[in-house]
Amino acid sequence: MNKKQRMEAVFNMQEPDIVPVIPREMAQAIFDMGWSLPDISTQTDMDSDKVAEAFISNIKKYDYDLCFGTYMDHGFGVPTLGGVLNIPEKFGISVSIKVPPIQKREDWAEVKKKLPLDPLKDDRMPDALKALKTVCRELGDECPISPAYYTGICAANILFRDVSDLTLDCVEDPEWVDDICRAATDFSIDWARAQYEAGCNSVFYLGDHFGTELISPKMGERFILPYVAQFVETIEKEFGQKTFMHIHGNMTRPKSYALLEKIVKEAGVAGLHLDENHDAAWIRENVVEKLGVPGALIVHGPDPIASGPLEKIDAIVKETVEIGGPGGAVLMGPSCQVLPSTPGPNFKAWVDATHKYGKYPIGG
Amino acid sequence: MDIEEKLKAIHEAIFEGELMDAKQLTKQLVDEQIDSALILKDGIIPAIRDIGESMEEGDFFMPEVKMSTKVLQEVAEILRPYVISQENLTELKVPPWTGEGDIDDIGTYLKTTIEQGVDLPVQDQMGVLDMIAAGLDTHEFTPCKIQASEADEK
Repeated sequence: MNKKQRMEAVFNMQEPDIVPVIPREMAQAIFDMGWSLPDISTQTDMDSDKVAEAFISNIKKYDYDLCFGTYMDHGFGVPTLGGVLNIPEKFGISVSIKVPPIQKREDWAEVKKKLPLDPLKDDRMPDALKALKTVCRELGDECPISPAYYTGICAANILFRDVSDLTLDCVEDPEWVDDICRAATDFSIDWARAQYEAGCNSVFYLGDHFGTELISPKMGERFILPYVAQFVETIEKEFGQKTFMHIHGNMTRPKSYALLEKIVKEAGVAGLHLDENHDAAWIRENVVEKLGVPGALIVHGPDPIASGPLEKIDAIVKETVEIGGPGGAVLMGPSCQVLPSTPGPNFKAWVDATHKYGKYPIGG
Repeated sequence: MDIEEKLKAIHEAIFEGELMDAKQLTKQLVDEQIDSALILKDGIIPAIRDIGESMEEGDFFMPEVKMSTKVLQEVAEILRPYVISQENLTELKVPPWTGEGDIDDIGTYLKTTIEQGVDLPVQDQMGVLDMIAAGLDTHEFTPCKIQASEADEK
């Protein structure tokens, strides 16, 4: 099987040849080249040649199975809307938002005038798309390349408002939060279109770091669920692709699990990548068997993938794959992303161990 | 309402994020010259402990904690002149933030910090509350960021 066929088997709820790996690679791809983030990005420009080189080199070096085709941080659109990015020179730290466009709710009126935000006209996004086109041209025949972004409250956080303030807004002014969630999701959909038009050929990778970690499941029904549903429907209708969702929070609790069930059954999400709160047995039983969608088996990003040692990575991957792998319909993922500071040998050990122990029939 | 009922009402108002009720009741007790140590011990500290337990049990999430924190800060502001001078506050050591780098640990942090603080002299208890309120108000609750910074430190 090539990597595309492997992913197709997983999303058809079958056993592929080996358990595929999705590292959700982001800034690690840049640091792995010996570059720091200011080498590839300013507030207003991105070096598309370097970004393409980093992402092509990364998948060739580590040989994982589903890649992102360009560098994406949490700052797209932010400077255009009046915010300021923090682009750290220090190794192993991601881009963050120094000044969000909406510091006070009253700022919304001014920010709203700058919407809708066209990804093709934003400062850095056309450069990111240029890199994506190069990666898709080079790797797209055999490798699944996923577009990625966020929706609802998570997109509103990244695009407009500090997370701490936004959680309080959910209680103090939920109607206003609805407004900014709608606007952020419109931007997400436009950015998804641009990525598919640039050559992405696989499932949409939808991230959500709010989940049931920062807001309650009840709030999730209001600020996450409807936007995910809108997004999934659009991606299916316009590009015939499924949506694979990464969501944070402990979903083993009954109310959280009920939200997860709605995300799959009502919003139509076709696969789940949860976080380190969920072991392989839980994923197999509660995602693959009960919800009937593929799930990512999790190895924690900070420990052991970033911290090592290699023997520990190997042992944990072996245990995880042997418990969760039989029966297929699973992938291997980190608890969030392969962290920017992850050493190359650790990254390689994680991917290689998954392919070694995840060869079907597992344990055979 | 007797004193015991008022203290219970402060506890509930902080827990529920009811700013006006909490402020009004605290001012009433201060005006009645009720001992600040009693207000801390039977009104405020039990509320913070309940918030921690509710987070651990999955009943409280960040919006609820933020609401309660806002109330806690205002109540602390009313009590501060009766409990501690600004000079003494700066001498207190700031406790560490999270344990395992996960958002769920905030509940544990709140409970353990309070439990360690209750045996301290009353002015130090007030300092602990100040630090909790300040920490909860400024911390960036993004799991990926916490994980990333933890790994970076290693």
